[in-house]
Amino acid sequence: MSEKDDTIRHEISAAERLRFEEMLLRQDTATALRVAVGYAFKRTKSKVMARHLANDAFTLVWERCSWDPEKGPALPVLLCGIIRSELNHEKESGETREEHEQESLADPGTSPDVIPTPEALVLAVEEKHEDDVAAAADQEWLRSAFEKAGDEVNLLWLKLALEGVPHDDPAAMAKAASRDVNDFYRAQERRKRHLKRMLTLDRGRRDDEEENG
Amino acid sequence: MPSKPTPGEVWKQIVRDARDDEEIEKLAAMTGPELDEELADAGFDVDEVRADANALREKLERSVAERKAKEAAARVPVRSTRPQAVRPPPRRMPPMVWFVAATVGAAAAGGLVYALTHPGGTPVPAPPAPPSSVPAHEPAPEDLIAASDLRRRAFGDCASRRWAECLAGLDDARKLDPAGERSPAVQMTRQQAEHQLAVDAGPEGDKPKPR
Repeated sequence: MSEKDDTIRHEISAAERLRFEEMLLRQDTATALRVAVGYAFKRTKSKVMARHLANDAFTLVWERCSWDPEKGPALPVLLCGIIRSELNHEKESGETREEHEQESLADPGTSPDVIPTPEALVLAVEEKHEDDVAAAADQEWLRSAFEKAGDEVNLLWLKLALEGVPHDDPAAMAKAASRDVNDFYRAQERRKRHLKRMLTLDRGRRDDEEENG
Repeated sequence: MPSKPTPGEVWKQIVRDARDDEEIEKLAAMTGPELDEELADAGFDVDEVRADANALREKLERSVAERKAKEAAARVPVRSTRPQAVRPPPRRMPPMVWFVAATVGAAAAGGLVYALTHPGGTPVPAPPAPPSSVPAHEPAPEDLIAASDLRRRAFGDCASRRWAECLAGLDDARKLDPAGERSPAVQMTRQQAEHQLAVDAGPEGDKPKPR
């Protein structure tokens, strides 16, 4: 077992571990693992990596010994969430590494292959502007949806996320907001529903909805 | 120095995660055959993926069995120091039921049986009987898994005092995996079930019991 149990806040007793393992055995682990493998494959496109990630996620659940099926997500969803977190973290590390390498080269754009043409620069600026406008509209739609629902915690979540608090870390959110971490855990499912709707509705429909109140 | 993500980058990640959530929901809603098909379409050997899941489960089962065995072992000396523990009490719960309950509990995950009879790194003490000089025919992995499941259910039946079901389950498991029958946990569970069936049957309990 690897040392990833950064969420362990207390020494886990043998009795607690036993109860947790018995509870895990009552779950449909075979299905959960297959869901996790399927998801990891969609993200990595590597069969070996997918199996490895799914196994690691399961091991991490065991190590943390904190998942409660009554309160938390279902096991397949939990495993996929861990895999996503691992992959996002790896991606961030990779990007940071790349930034370091570029910094060490002092001038990353000196090769003719890397220097963008003026046309490409204009296109990139236009695309970025369009993305920013779309993102701002989406954020406004989501904020409005939270407000309509009276979802104070998710309003806080959106504000803090955009300020740089890790959006997928309820503990960090709770700390930044000086609130109970369970508020942020409970807010996840509500937020997912809103985000899902946001993705489903096309922008025109959302605009129509706003116009019609 | 790692740069702080801009609000734009954060938002992109939130949207990516939301799309991921949809993907996860879709996968989690699939039935077993659908999942198998999905994995097979992606080029996976579904049996290998299942083997991964079984391996993790067996590891868990072994761990549970070891912990329960430790718990039981920790309790035995305390009880054995009591003088009246030597005397078999008639209808009261204590020694036999307690001991077997602990043993049954120790084996409740079924993995203990597998681990004891098919050693593969488990620190549980070896069974007392020396291995046969003639190598037994190793059952197919599916049979071992099925036997392990049957024994796990049988232990559960025994723990719930469903003695007849418990014995039937052990018998079925023995057909699939005869070597597993040598496991002390299986033997003790069988003895307990037979004993309790005899007790439940009353004075006629001495008559031979079906196996």
